[in-house]
Amino acid sequence: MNWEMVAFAFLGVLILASGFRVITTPRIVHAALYLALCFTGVAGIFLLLGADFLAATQVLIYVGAVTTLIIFAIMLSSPPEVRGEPARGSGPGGGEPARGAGPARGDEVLGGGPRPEGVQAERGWVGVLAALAALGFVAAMGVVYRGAGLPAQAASLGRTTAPLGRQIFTTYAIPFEVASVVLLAALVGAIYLSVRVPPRPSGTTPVSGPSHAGAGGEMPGEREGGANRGTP
Amino acid sequence: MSIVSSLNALVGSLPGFWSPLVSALIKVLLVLAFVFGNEIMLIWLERKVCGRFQRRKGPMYVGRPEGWLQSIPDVVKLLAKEDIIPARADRWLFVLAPMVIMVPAVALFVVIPFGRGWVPRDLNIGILYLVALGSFTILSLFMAGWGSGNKWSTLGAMRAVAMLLGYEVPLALSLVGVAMVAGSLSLVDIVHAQERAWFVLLQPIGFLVFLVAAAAELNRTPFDLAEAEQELVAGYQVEYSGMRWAMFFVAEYASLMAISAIAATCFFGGWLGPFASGPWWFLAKLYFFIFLFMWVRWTFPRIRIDHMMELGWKFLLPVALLNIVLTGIGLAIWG
Amino acid sequence: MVPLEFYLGLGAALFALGLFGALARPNAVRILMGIELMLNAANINLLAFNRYLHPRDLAGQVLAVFVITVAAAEVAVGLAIIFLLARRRHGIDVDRIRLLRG
Repeated sequence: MNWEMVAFAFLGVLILASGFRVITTPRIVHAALYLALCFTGVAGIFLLLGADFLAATQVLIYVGAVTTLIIFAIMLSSPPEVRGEPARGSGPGGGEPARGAGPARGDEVLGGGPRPEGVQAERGWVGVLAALAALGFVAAMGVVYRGAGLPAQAASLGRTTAPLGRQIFTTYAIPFEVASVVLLAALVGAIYLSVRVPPRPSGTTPVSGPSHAGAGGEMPGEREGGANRGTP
Repeated sequence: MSIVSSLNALVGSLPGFWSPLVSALIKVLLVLAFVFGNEIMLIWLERKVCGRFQRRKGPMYVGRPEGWLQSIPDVVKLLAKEDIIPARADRWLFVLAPMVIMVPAVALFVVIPFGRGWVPRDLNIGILYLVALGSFTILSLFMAGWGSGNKWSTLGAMRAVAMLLGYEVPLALSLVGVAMVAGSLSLVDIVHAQERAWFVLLQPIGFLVFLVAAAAELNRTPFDLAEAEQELVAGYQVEYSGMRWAMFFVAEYASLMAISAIAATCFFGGWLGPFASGPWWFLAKLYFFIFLFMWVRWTFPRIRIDHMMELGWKFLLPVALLNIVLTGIGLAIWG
Repeated sequence: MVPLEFYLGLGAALFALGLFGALARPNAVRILMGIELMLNAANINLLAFNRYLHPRDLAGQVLAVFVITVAAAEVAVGLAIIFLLARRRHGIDVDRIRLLRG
């Protein structure tokens, strides 16, 4: 019994429990916060595996930026759910009749009461299939790993930041540049998608992408250097 | 240092399973003692500084002549207040938010060197660790604002989150310049690299960017629109009273101390001094920066939110990037 | 020490959770959350293999950095799309969005 096992057990339970709650909690804001907890747990696992730079990067990007992005998107895209009412436009009916809505995890709201997400009756069988697929995947992986005869000891890693930096700029320079272009594309795309063009004085409206109607402010773009217009 | 060596002997004598835990606990207790001890003093100091800058004397009565015992009745009052959780609040978030905000406030001190060898844990990724912890502050502000069940709180929290995100990038970039010159992310290495010259001389732009971004990260005037008393009552804190509010308050001052400590360490040479280097130099610089932030707070008016966003993204960020480019050029020329 | 299979098992379980989350919920934001869980699980696997099999070679960590980068980019664009859909009053229930139907 050593600290590594204790830490791993604690982090493993934290990650799986909060991941489970991400999926099953009916209130979407809670789901976003459980997701942040899960990310923090994963950062802890990274630390256990000796990747200190990656653990800090994980916290910085996932907990700091991705979670905030998700929260902003939730605030701006589903206000009724955010207030705890049933979601507009979702609910039973429309589509195939329920094939005996199976006891799919995640579709049953834990403990009755109002159903903020709306019961997706036609989704029942999809949920069952998804759960079976997930369990099957874990079982298959278990079989594969057991039979693979993997080493149990881990060597120490030492400092990782400098060697990582060197590798990124020499061996992996091209993927690095490609990643920069991907980020730039995401940045421009997110801004373009969410910018609001005011209607032209003649009354004609622009045809392409940017929305001209509807309320709402601007969406924070990609975090890495993106233009972030404050929400009113 | 006989206390330190006897502590080391005590910890070393424990079985292998428990000694890292006990040594970590001792360090945690020391850090907490330092932080909370200074807290008490800082509450009084802020009110005194505020008073003096407003041409009045501040607390005068409790503990004559300068009211230095004022913190005690403040704390007693806060403890005695009724604990109110609003009916529409989300209980879990409301209760957890003050706890979550204390985490970065105290954890920032783990990597800061108080003196030669006096660092709770010298992480290889020191600076990155500091910046990453800011993420938890962002999360906790949102939890507080949303969990209060009050639209003004939520509004204040979203403004604060947008601001913190916007200024986190220039803050990190200003520290990148420091890391480039020192050749390492570890704060101990950074202090050692300043033995010839403090980084404020080598990185003046980075220093200024850091100060501005840090004031924004601390939610202090001129960037305190999350708590803008005249507009949002207390923003995300409005539904908090008594000890819950005190946690936010304490966390704000602990963060102030941490940021001042970072400024002292990264730009002003940490515990180094022209003679008799040691923790006293670090403390002197720490208090200098605390006073500086207080000075700025009681001097400047609050900045408007759209101006603040523009300042962060359109001015500070390019300036920080320019600083990195210049630092790179300088390193290439002078090695 | 912790055997490698434990880390891989954790990664597999987290991936399964993400897979289930992405498939079973019609809310577009939840689907994105499930995708993030899957990407994190992949990162755990990458780092575990890197540490246990080739500790001197940092390829796993480099790749994990790229995975994090691309995940962040994808979340940003995905959420912008979701935001646009919501703004145009289509709702974010993926079962009901038929805009690309031929």
